[in-house]
Amino acid sequence: MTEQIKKKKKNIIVLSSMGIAVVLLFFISLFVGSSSMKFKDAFYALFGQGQNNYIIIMQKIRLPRAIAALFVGAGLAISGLIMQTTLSNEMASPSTLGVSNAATFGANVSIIVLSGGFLITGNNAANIITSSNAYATSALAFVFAFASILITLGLSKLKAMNKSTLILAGIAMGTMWTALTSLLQFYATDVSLGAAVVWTFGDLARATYKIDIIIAVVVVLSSIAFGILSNKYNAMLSGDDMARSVGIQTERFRFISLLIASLITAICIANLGIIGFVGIVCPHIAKRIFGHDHKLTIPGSILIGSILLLLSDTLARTVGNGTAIPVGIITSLVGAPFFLYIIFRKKRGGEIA
Amino acid sequence: MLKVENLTFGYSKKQTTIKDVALSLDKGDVGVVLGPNGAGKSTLFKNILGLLKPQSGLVSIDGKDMINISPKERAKSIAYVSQSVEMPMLSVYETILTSRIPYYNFAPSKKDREIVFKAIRDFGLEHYMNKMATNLSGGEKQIVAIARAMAQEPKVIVFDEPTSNLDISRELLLQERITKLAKERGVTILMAIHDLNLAYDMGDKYFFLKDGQIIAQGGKEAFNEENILKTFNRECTIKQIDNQMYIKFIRREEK
Repeated sequence: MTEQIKKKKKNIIVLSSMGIAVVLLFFISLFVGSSSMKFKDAFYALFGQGQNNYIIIMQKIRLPRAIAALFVGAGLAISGLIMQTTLSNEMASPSTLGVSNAATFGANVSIIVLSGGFLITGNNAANIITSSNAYATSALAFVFAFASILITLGLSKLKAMNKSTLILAGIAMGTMWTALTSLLQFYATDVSLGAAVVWTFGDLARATYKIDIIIAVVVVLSSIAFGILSNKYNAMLSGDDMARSVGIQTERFRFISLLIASLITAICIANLGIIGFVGIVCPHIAKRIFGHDHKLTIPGSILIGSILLLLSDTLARTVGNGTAIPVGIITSLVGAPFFLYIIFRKKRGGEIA
Repeated sequence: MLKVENLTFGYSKKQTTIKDVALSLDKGDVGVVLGPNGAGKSTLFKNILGLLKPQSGLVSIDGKDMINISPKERAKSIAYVSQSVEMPMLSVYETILTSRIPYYNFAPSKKDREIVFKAIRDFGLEHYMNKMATNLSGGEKQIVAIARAMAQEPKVIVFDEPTSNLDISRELLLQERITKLAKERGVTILMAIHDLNLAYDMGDKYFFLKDGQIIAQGGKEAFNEENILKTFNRECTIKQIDNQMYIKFIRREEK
């Protein structure tokens, strides 16, 4: 029994260190950037004191962006974990059900079709995304992402819900949305095509307080729900028959879990574009550290997700020499080799770390 | 206690895998289902466990209908030790803790944890408690699966081929444990097992299943050459040596 207490202590220490890292990175990301602001000025500006342009940088640009990194990282990571568990597939990611392809199509409809991108030239690419139809673009992206989730889940509900048919249905749906996107882009003007492509680069610069609040509410509420259900997710690890024999209605449980997980992803992607790899890599790091117990992997994935995205965004804003690279590029660029390192590292056997 | 009546099931409407099966077991009985591969043993068990929904028929435990009942309520009455003991990447303790899901809403209570600890002690798993269940040997996994089923505090446990992966000493140990569960704790056990000698030793009641139908059933007296021939299509002789039964199959070329 003492061994168990020791392990519990160790896990608490690891989780709290991650928590501290999140707080530190949050502040580092606030105080690092392309502006030559001094730390003291930045600190005062955060609370609305000092030079006006500093206040604007801190309150209108950096703070909403850092908050977005905090919650989007957590949201994508938890979404990926739930996908992996409920689909019993290590390769599952937040967009396994085709969510991001559908969101991209929705955004393309808004940018290319509804913003007149088919014929009208002379539009500035930047204007198209940052003008008043930015919300329309997000809204359409979300509508298509959500519709895609419902179609995919609905299709697999017609026949008995099977994990592999679900994944295949997701792949098929994703391919369809991509084809439709290509079709739109083929007929698009150069400018709108550029805008449409730029939209897909996940970028936290699009974050506003409004977006932050929506994402934060969804991520916090669903994380609490997932946390309460952690023992049920643990039971799902033994396969459907075992889970059902301990009283879980596996089909309904899987349906609701996938719906919530996809919803988180849809909201993040629709507002900020595609941020790859966070959702697949973070749950894997958490599992390497804690084993598969959801009481640890749920908080673990959330914290690692925030850490990764805060770190990536800080990097994105500093390596670009004045221009901030979209964070989606950084996460995939840094995430992919790191992921390779994790999977090729010798598997740890025996005890749970 | 456990009562199955007129149970019929088919994976499609055209073919029936289980036909009109009826069986009953008393408290503390060990019922053994015998039959060749493909006879429908696993399918029958999954119907009784509520993992598959029968086309018609009744399953009840202590008079309580087990078919039209919530999975959570059903899980309080019946537990499952499956053929392939697929273990999760969890510690043995966390694995066994999943068996308490039917009993709580949000978080396991102190009582739930105590029951898990008791199951761990009862099955001598104290040293494995923090080990990953996936890293255990086949025999150890089997024990964890049984401990998990016990911690579920069911009235009936269904074992599907529990000894299939075990060496001889593990097999004997498991046999002892299962018999003890039934006799000392009054848990009713329904199991499928390939080894006929082991089946004879463990069973109180036998059900001979062929092509989805029970063609013979009864106590020790039903365990005879005739029923085995009818079920397995093989002739055998049953001999008694020092009060022990031995079954020897006659090779076809010997005839």
